[in-house]
Amino acid sequence: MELFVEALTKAIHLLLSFDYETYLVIWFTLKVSITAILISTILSIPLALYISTNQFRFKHFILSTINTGMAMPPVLAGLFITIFLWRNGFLGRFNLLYTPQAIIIAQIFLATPLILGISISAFQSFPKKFMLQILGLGATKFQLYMIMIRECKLTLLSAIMAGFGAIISEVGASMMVGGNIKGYTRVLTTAIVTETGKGNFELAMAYGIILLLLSFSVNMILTKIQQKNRTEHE
Amino acid sequence: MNNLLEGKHLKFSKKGQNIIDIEHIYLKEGEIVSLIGANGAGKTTLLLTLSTLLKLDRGNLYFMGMHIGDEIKERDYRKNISLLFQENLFLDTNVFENVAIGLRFRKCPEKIIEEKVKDMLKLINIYHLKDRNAKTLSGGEAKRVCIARALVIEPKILFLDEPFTNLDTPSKEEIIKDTGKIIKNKGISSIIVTHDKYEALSLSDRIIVMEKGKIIQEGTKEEVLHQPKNNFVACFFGVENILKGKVIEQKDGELLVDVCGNIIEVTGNFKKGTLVYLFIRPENVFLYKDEKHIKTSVRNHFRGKIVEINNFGYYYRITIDCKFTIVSYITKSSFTELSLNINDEVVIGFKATSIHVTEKI
Repeated sequence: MELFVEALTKAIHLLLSFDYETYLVIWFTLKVSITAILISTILSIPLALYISTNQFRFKHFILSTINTGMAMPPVLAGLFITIFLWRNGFLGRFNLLYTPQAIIIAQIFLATPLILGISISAFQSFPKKFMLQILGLGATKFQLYMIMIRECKLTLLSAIMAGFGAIISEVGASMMVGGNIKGYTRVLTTAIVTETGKGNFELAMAYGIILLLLSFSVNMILTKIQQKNRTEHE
Repeated sequence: MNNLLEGKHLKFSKKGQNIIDIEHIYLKEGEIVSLIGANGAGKTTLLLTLSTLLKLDRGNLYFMGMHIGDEIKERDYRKNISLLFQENLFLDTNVFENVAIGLRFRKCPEKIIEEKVKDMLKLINIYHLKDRNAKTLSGGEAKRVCIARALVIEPKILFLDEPFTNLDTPSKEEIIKDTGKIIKNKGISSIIVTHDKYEALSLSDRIIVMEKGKIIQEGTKEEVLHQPKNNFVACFFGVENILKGKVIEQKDGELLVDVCGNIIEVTGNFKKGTLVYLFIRPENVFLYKDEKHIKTSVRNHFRGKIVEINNFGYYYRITIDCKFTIVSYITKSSFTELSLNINDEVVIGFKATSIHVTEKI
């Protein structure tokens, strides 16, 4: 307990003293994860709209794959991406392994099934008759999609938050494809692993607090939006 | 009047089962048509195919004489129509925005949207609700918002799928009256899918009856009401007396039909031996205490015993057993005058001309 309190005090001191190295890791983590989540969202939402509003061959197989992807272990995602980016791998010629781009690719690989899966279920729960009603009032397919996005915005937001939560807290994939290179590919989670291994509990704790704070802020924003929407209904 | 919408050789099937199989259907300018039929008759599917929201397997649709798909694009056709479903489906926003949505799809200028929506809200008597979130409205208010949303775009054709269900009777009657008035005043051609004879009779100029994806009868209200083609149509329009019989004699448009040993005189043209259904509206069945009060024009009269009396406030429903069971509606004053009781012996009578006869298929 004493060790925990001591580590916590030092961690808070480290944060309040604006330690350069600490904030570099925080900045890098945010940059990588936000980029990944933006790309995932841009990919997932139109794809989810298409999948949920159209019938095509292998739809069930694709849905099952997406659902499996939602529970993809980060280490496995790291392994797949590593194989792809390996020198003689499919994308080896781009020399992306152990670069920030590699972490972004791995995080996209992890977040996309989550955002896609939740978005598909949101769009599929949009009443079929309501879709027909909207089209029957003269909407184009694009206008219908825009309305579906607007009406499902809360669930879509939850999907994005779930995706962000998953990638900012994962360690396996980032470690494998990024290599945890100090000042280059080190993110919060890999830094916690490294610092804990070295016995630097206070620094590991500082990174941990930041992770928790980030997660808390994200949930705060989501809760605020949800509550705002609820009071509008009352 | 020209045909505004016309469908020829329409076919739609699902999982190998024919849902729609219609040779010809039309809607004239300014006409209101009711589409009735049992559950699963294909009414809603027909509505969706006519609005091109569901693709037909085969067949051609024409809007103002133009082939939809070749001479006019589906999207352009759809800008001329409006749809109103049974459920109150709302966007998560206020009443004004819900009503304005169709105009926004048409990219109308903001000023025109403001003007048209406000006018429509006033016309439907819900202007005071314009800033309320649509999801917080009562059933009647919500229905009015849906109607306003469908009408504000000034469609040439309005498709309504059981639009007045889930409403209490006074609200329903009021909304039907208001909607009917607006549709007629604006001359909007409409097709209404309904399960309610009050809706069908009060709103429509023509009635189409569907069964198993096919049109089995169509005609004016009077035709369908007084000459139902089958039991479903008869029951739908309140013909409670459907008697099964056999033609035993036919002469100069007059038939003698044997119903459970009773001979009934009917006007019609069926060969001797034909099995037929006789449809008699309960209000056309008269009740007498004895034979001496029967008018000469009432050629069919039988003795029977009252087996059931139902008091509906302003009229009584009397069920009589006279080898066959028959129902008669009589006014409260007639009921008091005749002082009827269960098990009383009475004489029932009905005119030969008030019976509609069809062949039993």
